[in-house]
Amino acid sequence: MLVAPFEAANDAEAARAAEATDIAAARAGDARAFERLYRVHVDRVFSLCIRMAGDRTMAEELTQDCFVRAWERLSSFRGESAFGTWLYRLAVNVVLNARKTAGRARKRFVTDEEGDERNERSEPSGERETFRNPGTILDLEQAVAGLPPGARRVFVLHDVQGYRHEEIAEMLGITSGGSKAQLHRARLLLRGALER
Amino acid sequence: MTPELQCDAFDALLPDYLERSLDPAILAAARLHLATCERCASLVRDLDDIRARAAELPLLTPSRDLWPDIAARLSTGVVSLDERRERMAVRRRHWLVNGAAAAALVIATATGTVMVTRSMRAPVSQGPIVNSPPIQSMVIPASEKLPATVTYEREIDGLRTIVRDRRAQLDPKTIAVIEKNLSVIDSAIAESRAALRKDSTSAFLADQLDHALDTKLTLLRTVALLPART
Repeated sequence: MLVAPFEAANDAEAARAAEATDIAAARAGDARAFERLYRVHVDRVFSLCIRMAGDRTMAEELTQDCFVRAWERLSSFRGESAFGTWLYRLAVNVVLNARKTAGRARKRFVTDEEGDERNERSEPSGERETFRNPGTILDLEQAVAGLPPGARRVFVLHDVQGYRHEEIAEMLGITSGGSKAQLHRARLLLRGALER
Repeated sequence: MTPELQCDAFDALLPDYLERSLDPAILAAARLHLATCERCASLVRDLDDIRARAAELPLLTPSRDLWPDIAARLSTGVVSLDERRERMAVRRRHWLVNGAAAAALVIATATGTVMVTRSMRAPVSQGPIVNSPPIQSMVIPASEKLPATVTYEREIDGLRTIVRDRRAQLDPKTIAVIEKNLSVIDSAIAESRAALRKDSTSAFLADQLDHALDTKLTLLRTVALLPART
């Protein structure tokens, strides 16, 4: 009966060792080793990107950017945290930097907060419209995608990715209290959306 | 004795209640309220449920294999961060030397023009030229110990002085366009610096700042060498 847990532990240990080998090889320029790292982590990176960005096409571009950036920065990975932890934090930065760049491209006509307010007041976008159609079964994934951007980012980082408010505040350049307020707002909005 | 809460008061406590960060006395009051208020109890259940379901959301998969596109980008000029930093340092040194030479050329030309003009207007002065900065003090030393941004700033300040002195020689419309462009570039520089303060290790942001400073330098150099209006 005790064999299974031991086997699982051995598998996990073997996976960690294989990953360490691939990281070392990738740092030395081995693209095949880096591809193996990509295969292990791509779904989690993509999940983070799509939930934060709220757009599939953009999320696929951001996922590519994240892995290219990771390749460029592999030499700065010291192994102080797990490779996945380092990579997902990098992905968060890639998404947030893309948002800033997009904001500049729009000449900052709309700040995040203004955008959030408009999202709540205005007619729903096509995607959100489907949430509100009578008879449509809402699921949490769709409801999260329909959140205003500021609330969505905090919700994804806290409740989905498991970051603490202090970490989120640092990433987003807001206060810890602001992060808590956005999270609460997001949960209430989700409850409202899921009840419809 | 535990104070009795109304729904409004409980709503205000709710974020901290869900974070498990209420102090014990208030927590006891919140629990007492929850035991007697179905509206608030239902709200807490729903929000707890959302949190639990969010943590268990499944992983999503891209609609296609992204690796071929990534691999193509890796094989076209991707360099390691260390190598990239070294290249940037070399590029900055290159700018430093070229910038210093260009600034020296501009300053020498401007100073020479002032001296020639004065010698035509008045007898040769015995003392130093009061309003002309000494050439040596304005030439930027090509010291590699200086941070690149400091070097940029010095060079920009020197050129700004020349441009300011040349305002009367230039067409007002040209000056207006120059000032507008400088304002846009200054905004870009300020934004890049603000972003770098938050993410000081970003090579992309460092590149953006360098690019904005380069643009400003190029514009000022061009203006410093513009012919006077006819």
